[in-house]
Amino acid sequence: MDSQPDTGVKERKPFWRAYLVLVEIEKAIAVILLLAILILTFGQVVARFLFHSPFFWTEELARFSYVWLSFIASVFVVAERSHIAIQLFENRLPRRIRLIVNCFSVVAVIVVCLMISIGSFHWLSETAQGRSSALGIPTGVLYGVVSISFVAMALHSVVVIAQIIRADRRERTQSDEQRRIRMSIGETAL
Amino acid sequence: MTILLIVLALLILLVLRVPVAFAILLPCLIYVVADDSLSMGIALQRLGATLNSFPLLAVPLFIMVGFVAERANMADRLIRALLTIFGRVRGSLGYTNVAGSLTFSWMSGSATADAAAMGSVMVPSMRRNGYEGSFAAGLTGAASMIGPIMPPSVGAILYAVLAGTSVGTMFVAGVVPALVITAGLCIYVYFYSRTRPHLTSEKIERKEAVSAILGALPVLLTPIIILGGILGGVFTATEAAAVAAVYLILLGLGTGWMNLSDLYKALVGTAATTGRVMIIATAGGLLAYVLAREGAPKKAAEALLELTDSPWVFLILLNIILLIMGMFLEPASALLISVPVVLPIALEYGIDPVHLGIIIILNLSIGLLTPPVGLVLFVLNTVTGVELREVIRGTLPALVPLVLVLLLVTYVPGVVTFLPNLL
Repeated sequence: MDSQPDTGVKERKPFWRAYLVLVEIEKAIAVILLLAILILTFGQVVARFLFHSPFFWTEELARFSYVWLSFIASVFVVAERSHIAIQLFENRLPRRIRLIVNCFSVVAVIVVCLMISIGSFHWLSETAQGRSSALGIPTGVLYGVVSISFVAMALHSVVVIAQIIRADRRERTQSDEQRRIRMSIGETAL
Repeated sequence: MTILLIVLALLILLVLRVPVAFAILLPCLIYVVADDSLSMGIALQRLGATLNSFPLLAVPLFIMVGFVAERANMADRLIRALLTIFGRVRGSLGYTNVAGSLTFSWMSGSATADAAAMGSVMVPSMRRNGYEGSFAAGLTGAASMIGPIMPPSVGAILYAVLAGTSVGTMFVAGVVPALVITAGLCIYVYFYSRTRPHLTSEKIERKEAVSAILGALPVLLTPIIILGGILGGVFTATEAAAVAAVYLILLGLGTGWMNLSDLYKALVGTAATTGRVMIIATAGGLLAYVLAREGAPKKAAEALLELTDSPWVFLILLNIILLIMGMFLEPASALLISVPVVLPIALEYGIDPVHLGIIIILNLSIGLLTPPVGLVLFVLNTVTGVELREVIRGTLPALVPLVLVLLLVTYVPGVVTFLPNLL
């Protein structure tokens, strides 16, 4: 589990406020998809028992919702920096090295996201022409949401880098202050 | 050579704290780009295809069941009922702790959820009644191992989908090992409390006892829906999860044990956990594809078979490797990475896939109790306030019964396969 998400801090600047709202919206979309899975699967059971004929489309829609849910949830998890990672020597690293490692790990995320979203753009627009068997949902839509999720993850990651640098700067000024306090104590003591 | 580079890149990225999913994806995507016959479209399709499966739908639904049960304080109710049952037996709180984990495990499929739910209630009350904090925390940690083995188990679902076995069979196969762990920990509590005569708890009024037991009964209907439904052939695992989730949500809201805002929080938590685990599953799907394309499992199997043709030796090696892997990786990620490689090798040795699945899940779960990245240790430290050093000290003796169970499960396959074969 990662360090406390920086998004919880009360922000006055409109950009950060809008950003927090965006993350909340993503959470709401994920919850709606989750409820859709629950209701569709439960509905399938009810249909089987009451009408002895399961709906033919519920399973497919539930499966698709699941694909979308997983990737959209991954988007706000990126914003909260709580994707599963190995946390070795978390606090023992010197501040500067920690900053570099933290930024590197986010840059790696951005590279992956861009490779997938840009790389699949051609395939999505040209080749993915099929439709799903039950509902006729185009393949492009099913995988398009996945592709867009990776774009969103890349954008969130850029914000995360900004947050890391801000947190680092705060820490640095704090330690400067502490140094100044220490020095002033030293001066009075002398 | 290619395989070695991919695995090496993966390890370096993991150490540099790149999130597991992306540490897997980066070398795999570079492989896809470097190979002219592959396109990024195939990568995207692989990612989506891993999730596009009905049995896997059970994962978010069972995670939901666990989150709702936790938000509605259902563990609390179970513990109160169990306390009245164990009453004034010496060490009763210890037994209640283990039995509480057992009952809660029927609703939750992960060790961390179990440890959080039991730790916050049981550890403070055990300390108040004269148990050492390290023993209380260690016992809770060890008992949380029942969660990932006893159905419903998220690990079992993931394994079943990866290995192409049925989720129901994997669930049933976990029952006996989980009960053996429970028994082992009860023996551990017995030996601990034998020399400590002060470990009794207060007498409970009859009226209070009846209300505590009645209060837990509706909660206990959940495992009946899940286990009874699946074993009785009424539901598939996914359907059972949906029915249980709907039941628990209605129960929680209807009784006022939670409000709508609690429910929303439980759902956001479910979605986040699903996202965290399933993006690793998708990345693992791509990794398995790349490794299989390079013939990695076959080569590893050949190398191992040259080394030894005894399944016993292979299982020892497997246990050691998995325990080490579990020390560094969270179980779901480790499972998703290891199964595609290990399964074909194990089949060469004639090992039953269901048996292998329980061995893998148990091994990787034990890693949750060991430093440096034992998640359960950190969870217990956070929810109980017992110092991390003390938590670890208390967990060490509790690992003994767990490792004994692991050896039993590994070398007496009947413990695992007996029940599924009956059905």
